[in-house]
Amino acid sequence: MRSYTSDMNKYLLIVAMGALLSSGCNFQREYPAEIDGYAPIYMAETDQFEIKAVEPQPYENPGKIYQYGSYTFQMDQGKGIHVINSGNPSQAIKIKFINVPGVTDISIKDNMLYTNNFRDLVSINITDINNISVSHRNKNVFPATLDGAPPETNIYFECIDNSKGVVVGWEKKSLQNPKCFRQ
Amino acid sequence: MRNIILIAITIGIVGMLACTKDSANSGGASFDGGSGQGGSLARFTVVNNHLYTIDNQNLSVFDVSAADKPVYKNRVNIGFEIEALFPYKDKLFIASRNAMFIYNIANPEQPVQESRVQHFTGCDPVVVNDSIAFLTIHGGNACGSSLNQLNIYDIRNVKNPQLMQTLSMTNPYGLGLKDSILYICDNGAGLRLMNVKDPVNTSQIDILTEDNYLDVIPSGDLLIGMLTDGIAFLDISDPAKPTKLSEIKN
Repeated sequence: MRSYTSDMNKYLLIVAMGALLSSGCNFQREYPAEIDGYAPIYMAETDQFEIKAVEPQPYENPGKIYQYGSYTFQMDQGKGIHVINSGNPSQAIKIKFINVPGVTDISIKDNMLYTNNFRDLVSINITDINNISVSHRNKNVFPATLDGAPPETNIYFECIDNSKGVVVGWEKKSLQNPKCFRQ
Repeated sequence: MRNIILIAITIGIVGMLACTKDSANSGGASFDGGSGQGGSLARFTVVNNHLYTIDNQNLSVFDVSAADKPVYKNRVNIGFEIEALFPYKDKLFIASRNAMFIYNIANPEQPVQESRVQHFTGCDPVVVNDSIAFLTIHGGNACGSSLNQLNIYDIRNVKNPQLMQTLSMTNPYGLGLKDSILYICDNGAGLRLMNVKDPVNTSQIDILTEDNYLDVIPSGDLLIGMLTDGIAFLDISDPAKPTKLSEIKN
C-alpha cells in the first residue's frame, strides 16, 4: 500500500507539470479585444518532409553555425541550411541551400549530416554536396514542436491550432481576441 | 589552458545562441570524414560513434557507428528547458534555464549525472577546458531573468563545481575559447576578448563592435562568427588580434 506521502508527492508533481504545461494559457487572465502579440506560422503537412538542395538563398533568420572541413553550415531557423564554402575564408561564399522544414540543429560525422525535420531525425549524405540524398529517417524521435511558444515572455499569442499544420515560426502582429498568453 | 574545448550551453525555449569551442574532435579536415564542430548553442553533437541530441527536457542517444543508419538507443530525462550541450572528453555539459549539468558518458549509451549546478534563471551557454567552465547568463525575452553575466567555475572536481568569479555583461550569448583568449558574444555590445590565462583575474583586453555576434566557433586559426545578420570569418592566428577575412550578410 502506498503511503500518503508518496501519493501526495505524485499529486504535487502532477500539479506542477500541469502548471508548466498550461503556462501558455492562463484562464484567469483578461484577454483584450485587440493587442500586439504573436501568431503562429504554419506549414501544411504535405510540405513538411520535403528535403532537397537548391540554389543559394538569402538569409531570412540566420541561426546556428557548424564547421566541417572546408564547409560552414548555417541554419535558417525552421527553413533550411545554408552551405558555405569557407575553404578560402577570405572569399567565403554560399554554394547551396538545403531545404529542411523545422530544422534547428545539425551535427556531422563521416559526411553524414544529422538534422531534425520536425519530429524526425534525418541523415543526409553530403559526400557530393551537389547531389545530396536522404539516407535514413528515424521517425518521431523528437517532441512535436520545439517552438511551442512565442519567443518572448509576458506576451499574448494566438493559440496553436494543430489542424492547420505544424508551427514553423512566429510572427509579431496585431491580434484580435487572443486566448493564449506566455508568462 | 591547453587542449581547450568549450561548452556552450544556452537556454531558452526558443533556442538562443551561444558561441563555441575549440578543436578537440573537430578534425578540421576537409570533407573526408570525422565529425565537425558546432557552436556553443548546439543541441546535437557527435561523440565518437554516438549522436547526442537534446530537446526541451531530454537527452537522447543514437548509435551512429553505421553513419548512414542511426539507431535510437536511449533517452534520459534531464529537466526542464534544456538549452544546449557541449561535449568535453568523456563528459557532456548540458545547460538548462537554471542549471548546468555534467553527465559522464564513459558508457556512451548510459549517460550518468555527475553534478548539477544551480544558477539564477537566465539563458546560458558554456565553454569548458580541463579545469574551468565558462558560463554566460543572459536575461531578457524568453530567458526570464534580468541577469547578464559571465560565471567562471572551477570544475576540477566535476562532482562539485565551484563558482570562482562573476563578471557583469550586457546581454551575453555564445562563447568560444582559443588558448587563453575567451571570445564572448555580448549581444548589443560586441565581441569581447577576455584574457583568461588566470581565470580568477579574467579581464577584457578588447572588444569588436563592428558586428553583432551571437555565437562563435574557434577552429584552428579561423574564428567563425554567427551574426545577427549573417556570418563572419576572422583570422585568429594571433588569438588576441582577430582580423576579419570575409562576411556574408545577404
